[in-house]
Amino acid sequence: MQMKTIIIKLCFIFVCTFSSTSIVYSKDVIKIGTLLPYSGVYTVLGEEITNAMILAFDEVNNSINGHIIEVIKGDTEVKPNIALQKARKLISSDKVDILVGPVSSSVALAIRDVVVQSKTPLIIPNAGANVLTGKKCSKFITRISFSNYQINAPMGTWLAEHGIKTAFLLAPDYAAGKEMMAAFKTTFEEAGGKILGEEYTPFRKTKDFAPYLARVKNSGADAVYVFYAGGEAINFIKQAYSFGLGKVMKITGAGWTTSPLFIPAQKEAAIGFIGSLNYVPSINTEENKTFIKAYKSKFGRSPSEFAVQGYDSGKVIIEAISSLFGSIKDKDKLAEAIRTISITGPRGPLTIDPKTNNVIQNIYIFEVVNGEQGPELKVLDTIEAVKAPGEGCNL
Amino acid sequence: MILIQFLNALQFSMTLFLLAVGLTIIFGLMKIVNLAHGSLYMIGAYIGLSIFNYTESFWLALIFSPIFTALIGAFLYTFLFRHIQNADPMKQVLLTFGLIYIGLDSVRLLWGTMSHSISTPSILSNPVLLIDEPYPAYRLFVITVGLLVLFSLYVILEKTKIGAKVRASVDDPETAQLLQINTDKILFYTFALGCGLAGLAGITVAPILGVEPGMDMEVLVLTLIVVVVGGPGSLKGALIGSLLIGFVDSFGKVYIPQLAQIIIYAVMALTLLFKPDGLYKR
Amino acid sequence: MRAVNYNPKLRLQLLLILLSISIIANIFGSYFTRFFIAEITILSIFAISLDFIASRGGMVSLGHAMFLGIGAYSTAILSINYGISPLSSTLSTFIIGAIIGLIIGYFIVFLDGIFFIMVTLALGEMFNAWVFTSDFLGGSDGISGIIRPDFSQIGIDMNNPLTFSFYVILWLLGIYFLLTKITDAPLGRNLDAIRQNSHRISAIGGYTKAYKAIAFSLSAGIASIAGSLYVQLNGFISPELTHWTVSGEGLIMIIVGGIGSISGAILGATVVHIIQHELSNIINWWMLVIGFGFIFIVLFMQDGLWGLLERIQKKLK
Repeated sequence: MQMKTIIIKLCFIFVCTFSSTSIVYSKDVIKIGTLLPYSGVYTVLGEEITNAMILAFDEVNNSINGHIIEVIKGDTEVKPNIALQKARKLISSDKVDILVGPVSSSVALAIRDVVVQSKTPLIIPNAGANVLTGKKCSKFITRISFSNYQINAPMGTWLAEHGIKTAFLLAPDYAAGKEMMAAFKTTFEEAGGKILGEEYTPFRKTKDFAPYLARVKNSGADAVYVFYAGGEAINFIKQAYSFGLGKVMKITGAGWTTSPLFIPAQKEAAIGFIGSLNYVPSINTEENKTFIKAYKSKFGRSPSEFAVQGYDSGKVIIEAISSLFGSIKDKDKLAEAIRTISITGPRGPLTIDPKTNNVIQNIYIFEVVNGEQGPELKVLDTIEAVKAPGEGCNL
Repeated sequence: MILIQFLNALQFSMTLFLLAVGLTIIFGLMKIVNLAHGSLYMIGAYIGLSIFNYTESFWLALIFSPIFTALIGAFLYTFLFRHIQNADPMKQVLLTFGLIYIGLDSVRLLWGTMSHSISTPSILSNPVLLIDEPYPAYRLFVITVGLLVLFSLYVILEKTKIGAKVRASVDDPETAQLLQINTDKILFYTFALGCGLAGLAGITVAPILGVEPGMDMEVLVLTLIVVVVGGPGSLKGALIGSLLIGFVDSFGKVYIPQLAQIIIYAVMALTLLFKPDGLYKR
Repeated sequence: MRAVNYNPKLRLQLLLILLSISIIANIFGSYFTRFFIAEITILSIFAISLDFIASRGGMVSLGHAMFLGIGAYSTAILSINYGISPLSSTLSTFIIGAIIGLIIGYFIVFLDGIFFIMVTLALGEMFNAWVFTSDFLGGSDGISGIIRPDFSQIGIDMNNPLTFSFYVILWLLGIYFLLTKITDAPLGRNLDAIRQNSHRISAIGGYTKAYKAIAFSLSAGIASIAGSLYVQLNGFISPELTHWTVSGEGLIMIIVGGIGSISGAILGATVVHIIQHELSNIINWWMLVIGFGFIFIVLFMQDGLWGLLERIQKKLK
């Protein structure tokens, strides 16, 4: 009957499309899968991380111990359910050896169980949720970017020690925003500071900060401490400037608020901002200068802190696999090799904290000043070897 | 402080008004809700961004962006909506829904996914002192634009022949056609105007709120609520609705941030319960 | 929407074809295929819920993702906080969703189609915003660690994607047959009449609003079941599931599939989800393609693929 043949043909096509795609598992190829956003609001972050990681691979001629490196991209679209689909595809269809990603913490939490159950080592090049190297830590998950606590806690102590007695907190109303403010609050209050108020703005739905700026101004605090990224960071800085906020108090916060990615849009409005980051372009080391030059010549623009995290992910992979002489079949050994690396990258020295699998790194306190080519981040202080507490992690 | 909050609320209301009035006029005449209205707002901002980047003049962007957006509206009307004018309104609404997807990806393809920024023109960049408090001059400008549009629309609709024809077409299309008022032409111009107003809203507000993909939907929901509450098809309703929602939202954010969102939806729910056709019938 | 006279025989044939394909693909496919089929099945349930109110009550909802969310989050809370078994959770979420649907329905079912869309869109957005900021529901990170039903006593391992996929298909079949019974019975016929003749029915005193509210309530319950199964498939839930694009995808599914026959919704869900998945692997601008495709279907194929099949069948006769 005609129907039957149609059904059989359709089944065949269907099954073929979705069956495992790697027919021959080539022993000579090291497969690195990325779970990063290549569409949606965070696209530029996904691209920066990937670009820089590939740059690191290029530096070793794209091979480690004779094995060629193959990068397979998975677009998370910053959607946890899509990311989960892609993660499953990369792990079971493409059979990747190592996963690199994601940018967003909610995606990280979504894929965490699948990654750990499949024993695929995951290197996190951004997502900062404390819990990923806390309660949800695993020996297969190594974070080389930062934990939300790590970036914000040093600011609390530093501001208190530099004349700021009272502060008002402002951040987007989601997990990361709240974690960042909590970290600052802890150390700020410990050093004798006082929090006069906290406001959380609807995440990704706040374009107009005018109502909040009025409250901040009225609080009479010595400083406002914020965390914003993307369009929100641009809008906040510009609007704060238009309301003359910087004239009545110090504008401070987590460093991404005036990331080099956003300064071209913020222009002079960013000047005066004091923040902290794990990387600033003005770090005066050979590694950083070489990196900036290489990135610029290949991609036509200066690297951001996200690019550096991608670059360091690449270097970690190279280090770890080299230490195993290229033999990566044993997943436990691979995971162990990754968490015991020690490298010096553009950020400075990096090691992994064995208790939490989170990176130990320098944190740079900077101020945005007027430079020769426009506003730039000038380092005021370097806090060395900052760790993340990692509560609830038993590694 | 209250004066500042009042002005913030008024500025937000004027932005909503620019959007709501376009949407409500289109609904009044064509009986359809253009779900892609937010997309036109977004496209207006992006076109303005390009004009600004190319000419370095905000004023040129302000003038030409709504014109281009109106042209896009004219194009959509001629090649899409006119042909299904007599079809089920639902079909037309679904069409506009498909346009949202096209608009979003077009913008991403042409301008990328990063957030962009337009600088406020230098004349309006310095704060104005209002009873000791500095207030951004540009926001006052936004309020002015809104009021100008309101005034112009009022004059056109109430005092000119074309306005009379438009009102006739809205109130009683059959009689209007009998009187040989060319309804098709009226629809064409009004649709284009509505789209142009959305584009104007986009470029006017861009120096404050920035330009990024996704800005279409953020504003659409509030605009829909304004139209539902104010009464679809009514110019007065668009104004009162914008003021109501604008003030509730702005003051709510300042004094009861937790409940601000809920209150707006409560307002909509109450309106639906007690005045289902909106506060002002057309 | 114009009346769609569904052909029960074709409807069943289409169901059987889709069923056979998915069973064979399930058995012979990879780990990933089985997950994918389970996902399509769950989306089919969601599409059916949308199709039900669109075809039987003339109500097109752009906010139904909120019921997916209600089903998913309820299941997460019930099973993690209260230790209720996943199967009971799914049944409970049907009731929870139906009750909330009834309450909301009371406010909105009398609205004209276009108003209805606007209001459901706004409601969906409200729910999305609330879920995002609710600490109780895990905020932007959502909740993870949800488990699947435990049938180990009868030797079935739900953690095996093959088994779970069949489990979900069983739910789909159950809902399919439940709805065919309903639509062939007085409730369905009444709703059909209402959709075609609102004014006349109210004139002779029919309980228009009540019937529509019940239909909306039932639809909400079914969408909640889809949400519950979804969270058991993935083991976690986050606010993205309640975003308007999910409601939008549902709408696209029933338009592409064709409104009025339950099988059309299943076909639409399958086709749209596969296309979206494959496209997004190849290009970044897949939304553009889907937008154009959708407009094309709205303009030239208003009965969707189902209508196409009907016409083909007529020609073959």
